[in-house]
Amino acid sequence: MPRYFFHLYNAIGITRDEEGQELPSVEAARASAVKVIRDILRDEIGSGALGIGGRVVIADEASAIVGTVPFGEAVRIDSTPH
Amino acid sequence: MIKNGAARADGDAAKVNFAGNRLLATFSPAERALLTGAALPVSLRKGEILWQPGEAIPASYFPCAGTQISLAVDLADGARVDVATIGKEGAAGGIVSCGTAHAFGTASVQVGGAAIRVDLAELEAAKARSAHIKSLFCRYSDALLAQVMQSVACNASHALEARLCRWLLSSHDRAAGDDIPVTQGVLAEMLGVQRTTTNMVLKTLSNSGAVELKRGTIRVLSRATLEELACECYRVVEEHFARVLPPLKPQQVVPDDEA
Repeated sequence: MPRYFFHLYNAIGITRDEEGQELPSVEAARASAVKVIRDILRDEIGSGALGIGGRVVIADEASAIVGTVPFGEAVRIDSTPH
Repeated sequence: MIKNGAARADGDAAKVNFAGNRLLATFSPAERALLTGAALPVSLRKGEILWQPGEAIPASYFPCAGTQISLAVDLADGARVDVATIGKEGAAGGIVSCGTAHAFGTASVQVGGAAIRVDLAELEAAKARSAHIKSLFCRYSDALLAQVMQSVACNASHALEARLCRWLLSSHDRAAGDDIPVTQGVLAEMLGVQRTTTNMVLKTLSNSGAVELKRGTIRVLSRATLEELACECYRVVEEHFARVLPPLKPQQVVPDDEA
């Protein structure tokens, strides 16, 4: 299985992934990035401040970027007034 | 995943270092004699699965030196969440069930090293013959339940940074030195979050000088900083252990040189 690295860009700077993770495909890696973002947002919402401007950059073993997931893509925000 | 419930015997029963574990260290010579033949020094390998849900547990494991066993619950979506980490202060396996039930969770070796394996039936027999041993395990069951109760509350309510600091403090207590040998992947699994999420929090801790990150190891540089950032869960569990378990002079628990 290929190994993917998830580099995180958000308000605290760049958190580089040195360990990586074996996953079957780029699609699985994107799904994993979505989980990362939801983890972070879930934690942040508890403190009352949400930073939605970050992104997770997915790289392969050759350090080539195979995908980018903006935080905003990991959640659907419905702001319709009720 | 390594699977070897029986672990590897390191030597004969005569070499059992009772003083290497906080519970066994309180045994008198006569109580130690009750476990002759039943207690064996073993070497647990990192990642080894001691038992999985549904399996009959054959023995209790008493970690020595920096050895740590993680008790975890596996969820249907593949997530594994750590509910208790057990080191030289305690024991894992048949403690609360008094030797009769099947395993509910998964026990795996988080930090490899020396431990004492005690046959469960023999441990029950020793409890029947010694009031101290019986009372000790009742009290330890209470302490372990307190640890799990606090863990449930903590996981449900506290922010990841506080939970991570709590885990680092309790693991540091059980470690042989300042280095906690844990990969970020295992740490994430134990906290029930994604690896990258854990990396992010570790990075902020590293930036603030609380820890130093090396591949496969987290070195604790400032306990004071971790204590400041941790939730109260670390402290209250420690206090409960101190109240419930018999007093022990620090020198009574000695590292096993053969570990």
